[in-house]
Amino acid sequence: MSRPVLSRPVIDLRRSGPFRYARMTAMLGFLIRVAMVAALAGVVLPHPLGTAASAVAVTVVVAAPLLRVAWLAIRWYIRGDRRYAAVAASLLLVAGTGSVLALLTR
Amino acid sequence: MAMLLLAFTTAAVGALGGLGGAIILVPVLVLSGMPAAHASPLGLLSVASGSLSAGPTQLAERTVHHRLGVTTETAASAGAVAGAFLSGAVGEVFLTRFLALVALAAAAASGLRRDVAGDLIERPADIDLGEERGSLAGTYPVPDGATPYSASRLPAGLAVMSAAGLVAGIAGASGGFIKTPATTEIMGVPIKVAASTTTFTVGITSAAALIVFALHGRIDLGAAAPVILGSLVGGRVGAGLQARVAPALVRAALAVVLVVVAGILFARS
Repeated sequence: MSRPVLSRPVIDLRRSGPFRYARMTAMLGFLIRVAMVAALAGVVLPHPLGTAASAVAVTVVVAAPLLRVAWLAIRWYIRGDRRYAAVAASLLLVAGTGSVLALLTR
Repeated sequence: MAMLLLAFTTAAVGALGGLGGAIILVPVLVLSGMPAAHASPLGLLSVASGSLSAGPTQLAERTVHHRLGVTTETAASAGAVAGAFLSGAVGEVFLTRFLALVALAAAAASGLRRDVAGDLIERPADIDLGEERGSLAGTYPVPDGATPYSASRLPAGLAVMSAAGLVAGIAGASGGFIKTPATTEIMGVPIKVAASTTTFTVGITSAAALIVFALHGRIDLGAAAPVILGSLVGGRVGAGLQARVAPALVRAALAVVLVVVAGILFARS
């Protein structure tokens, strides 16, 4: 099979109407707003409030991609794509194993 | 405030050049006197913020191949976790020199990178885009219709992704400058899909390593907030400026800056 090559001009892929993963998009938009507000609070508020807000921002930024993978795993499992649901679960297992090892070695 | 400005500027310039901000942020932090072991987690926070920020737009465009991303990320995340542990075990000189090497590699990637963007035309209404269920194949639009593609050479791709994850875990850079070329050149995926999928996966790579850093107490919460805020805003500003500034020019300038930064890092180490 020949490799597809992107040539000019390209198609405008942006969509305003409903599209696949619309709920995930809404979830990510919410998490971005939470991270932004928490990070702003972390910048302007004094310790200990600022530190707590900063911790919230870090938690959101770290959790967001893992939540997205968990979402995909559940979505694929429900829709019968068990193979990739298992791959997504394996990815979460890798992150989980890293966490356990970090807990054991700190 | 200085950290906020630095994160904003590096994220904007990084997004403009297509490399992400961390590859500039971490070396600049090290050159300003911060230990590399402390700068790496901040770089990964910048990467994760940029990935999160780009998510909604890329989902709307349907250019992210989630199955491909999740599959390759199993190797990359394992590499990132290993890199995060390794970065805590090696000395500052090794980390600084490794960072200099990564900056040089990123400079080369920046210089060799091809254009992704072009003049936009209206999307044909009858083309169903995106990934195929249950496979690493998908459909990508071209001006005269749609082109099917299928990711190939998965074992080789996984090997390179694990190396990219290791680099991310040690150096605090995204590793995207390795992942995107590997996805296009080794696995045969269209560059726009590869770039979007990489943006999705670098967030996971960063998260996997950041959990290790957090549990080892290596994340400076005082610096984290300005880095996250600056990266979220700067990444958007940089992406918005892409249409107004010639990306090739920015990438060339970025490559020169990275070479200079790498030279200084080598000299200081």
